[in-house]
Amino acid sequence: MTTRTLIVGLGAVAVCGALALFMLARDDGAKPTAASQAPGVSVRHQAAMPPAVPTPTAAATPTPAVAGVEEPLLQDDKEYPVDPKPATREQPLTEEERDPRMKRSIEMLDQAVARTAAKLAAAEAAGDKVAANTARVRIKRLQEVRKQRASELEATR
Amino acid sequence: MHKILAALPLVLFVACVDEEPITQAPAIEDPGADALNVTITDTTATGSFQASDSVVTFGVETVSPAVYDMWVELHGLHLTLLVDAEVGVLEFDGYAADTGALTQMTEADRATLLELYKALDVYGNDYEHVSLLRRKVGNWAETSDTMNLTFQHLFDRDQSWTSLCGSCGRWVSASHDCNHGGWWSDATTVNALIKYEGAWCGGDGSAYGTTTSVSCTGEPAGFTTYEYTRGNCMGRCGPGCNSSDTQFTQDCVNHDSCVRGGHDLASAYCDDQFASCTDDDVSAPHCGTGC
Repeated sequence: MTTRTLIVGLGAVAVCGALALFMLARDDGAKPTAASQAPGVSVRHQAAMPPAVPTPTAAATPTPAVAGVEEPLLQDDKEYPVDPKPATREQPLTEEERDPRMKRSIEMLDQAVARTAAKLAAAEAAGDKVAANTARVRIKRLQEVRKQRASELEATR
Repeated sequence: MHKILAALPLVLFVACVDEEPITQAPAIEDPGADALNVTITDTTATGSFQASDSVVTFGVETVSPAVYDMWVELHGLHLTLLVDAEVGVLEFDGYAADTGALTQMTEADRATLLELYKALDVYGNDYEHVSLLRRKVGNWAETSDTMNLTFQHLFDRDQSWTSLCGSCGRWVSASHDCNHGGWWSDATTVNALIKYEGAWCGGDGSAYGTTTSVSCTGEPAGFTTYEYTRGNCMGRCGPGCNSSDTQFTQDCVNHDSCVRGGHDLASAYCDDQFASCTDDDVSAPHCGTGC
């Protein structure tokens, strides 16, 4: 082996090592890692949620620091789609609203058992063992969930 | 010659260590014409999808108007969902396909479901039952390792979501609760740009910033430093971008703020935000890809 061959070999090993390190760094980058503390960061969020955050000025807009990529304007001239329904604040269901939905859930589970039982019968008639097992397992699960939901409904009374 | 050889690794390393490539336009990968086979009728759809690691089978049946029964099977996992979109009932279940034993979602399951979710985008919104199946595949693709696959979500179809269509192209406050703090605390709250735009960075696709800086890397401790985040269809219900499903809601941006705020899809801290999202893609309006 000549000295030149040895040097070329060592060079190739170094290249591979560098690439391996690079790939590891990329993988780490996929998950959040320690971030540096930006100087002069102010307190941003008030104790109570502000109703809306005003659009920051252009200077305050975070711009991905990537060469050759232009930042799209935040207030570009375009038509926004109109809501087919007004936006509504989410409201937790009251007990009176939960009750009929819980009953409906049990009803849906019962109907699903009936539908799946028909599929099981058809699969057995056709000698399709895989489909029959799928239906059998689903019926078992539906019945278990149904039992659980019934007890939850009972507990609300 | 020796100097050139010695410098080669350094040159290659420096050339590679740059910012992650950026895709501004949301990119939907084409799974290939043969990968997806679906038989669609007016009330049913069944099919299979050749994902990169296995075959996924799925189906949906319209039981009656606004009532659906759907399932997806992959990796020996059988996922089912009963929906009454009118009354407001979602009944999720997931179990080992051969025995019915309880199990959980894994990273590999989410990756395969994400492939299916993207593939189903080709059907647009021509069929309501296929659209809903796709959105629910998107839900499953965002289900954490710790989420109980058997869960019920009851909702009022007109009151359980807050559309952000009116905030397209604007920053809105998003928050969650987790080990870093309660709702609307400094570490759990961020200003998110509601916009149908692709990934700005690698990883979760988000760019993070303050008023004076920007980074492609999030913070492990939430938003203690960063004030703003954007990219990869922040606030859209469903993983990443998908041109057929453009529902941007407060619940969904809150979930994004959790997943991208020092956690990831596998994090149990985001399970409650995830559950709140599951009815939004049933009832909330689409904002369009112009959002």
